[in-house]
Amino acid sequence: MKILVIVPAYNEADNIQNLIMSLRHEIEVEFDIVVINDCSTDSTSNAAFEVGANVIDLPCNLGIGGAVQTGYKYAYKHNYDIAIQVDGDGQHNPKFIKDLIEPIILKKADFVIGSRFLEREGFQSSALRRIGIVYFSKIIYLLTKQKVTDPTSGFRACNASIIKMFANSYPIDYPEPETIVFLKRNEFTIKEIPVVMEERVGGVSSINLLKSVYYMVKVSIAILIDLMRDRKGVIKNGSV
Amino acid sequence: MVPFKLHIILIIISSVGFLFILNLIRRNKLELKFSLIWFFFSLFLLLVGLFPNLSVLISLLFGIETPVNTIFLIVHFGTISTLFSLTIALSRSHVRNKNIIQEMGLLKQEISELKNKLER
Repeated sequence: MKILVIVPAYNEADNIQNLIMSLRHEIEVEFDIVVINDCSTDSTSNAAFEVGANVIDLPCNLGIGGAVQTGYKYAYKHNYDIAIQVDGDGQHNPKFIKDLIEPIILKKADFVIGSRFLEREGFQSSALRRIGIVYFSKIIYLLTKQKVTDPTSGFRACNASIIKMFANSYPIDYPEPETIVFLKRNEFTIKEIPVVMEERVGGVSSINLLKSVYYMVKVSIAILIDLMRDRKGVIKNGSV
Repeated sequence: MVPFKLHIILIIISSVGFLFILNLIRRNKLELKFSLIWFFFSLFLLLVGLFPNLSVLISLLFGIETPVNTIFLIVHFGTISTLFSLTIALSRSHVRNKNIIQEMGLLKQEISELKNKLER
């Protein structure tokens, strides 16, 4: 079984080496790592290259959605069976990878999300962000009857048919909640498992107040519009 | 009636605009596909300028009191349609652009992988 870890990174030179090292320490599961450097202005690419990581350098900044989709395109091209997304800022602890892929290997789920709220351990994010997260999980439950406690979590794993789907179409910015609705519409099984997230060590998070408001509005509209799409089938010409 | 001065202004501006657009298309500076909407828009304004009765007729059809308002309404509508067609074109090229950037990243990675294999 071929497993790929996709690490989207934008200006994460301070964190990326530690992350790759700790990924390598996970010897229970065998996987390849690909770092998607989203046109960082710092030395993210070199830092990852120094520790021997496989790096894809995007020539222009695409934002998280475009960067992650590049990883899925890579996974699809190289016939991976499972793809796991791990943020480049070191918030996601690699020791949970084996828990994340277990339901997929056992064919109990197509898509697994690592949630920091199932067992409420570790870094619980700021109060403001938690309000947004609760709002999204309520709206997703209301519209799709799918329980997701951490819809904005970027720590997730998926099987080959979702890899193919994501390679074709993936939302551009703030994609996490939208992909859940998108997968639910295409009748995939989604499961959450408890994980512990760390507070980021170096670098700065890309979310501020004004962006959060835009995030909430944009994602809400995106979710509502996704409901109007055909029940089955990929968005034409891939992801606007 | 449409004021005489407005007529003159309409004729001058729309004919200059029309010829300008036509010339750009002729010199391959504008892609006809995207400028078609401008082409028809300026052609229509020119016709309204040349045949004042046209605007009077449309006003009667729409129940608008003064032909000047009809012209304004049409211009407004034309502007919005043109803007919107640009947004559509922009969205489309945005997606294409993204796909090209991703493909380029993947190819760059593949090339450096092949290079490494060759050197070994």
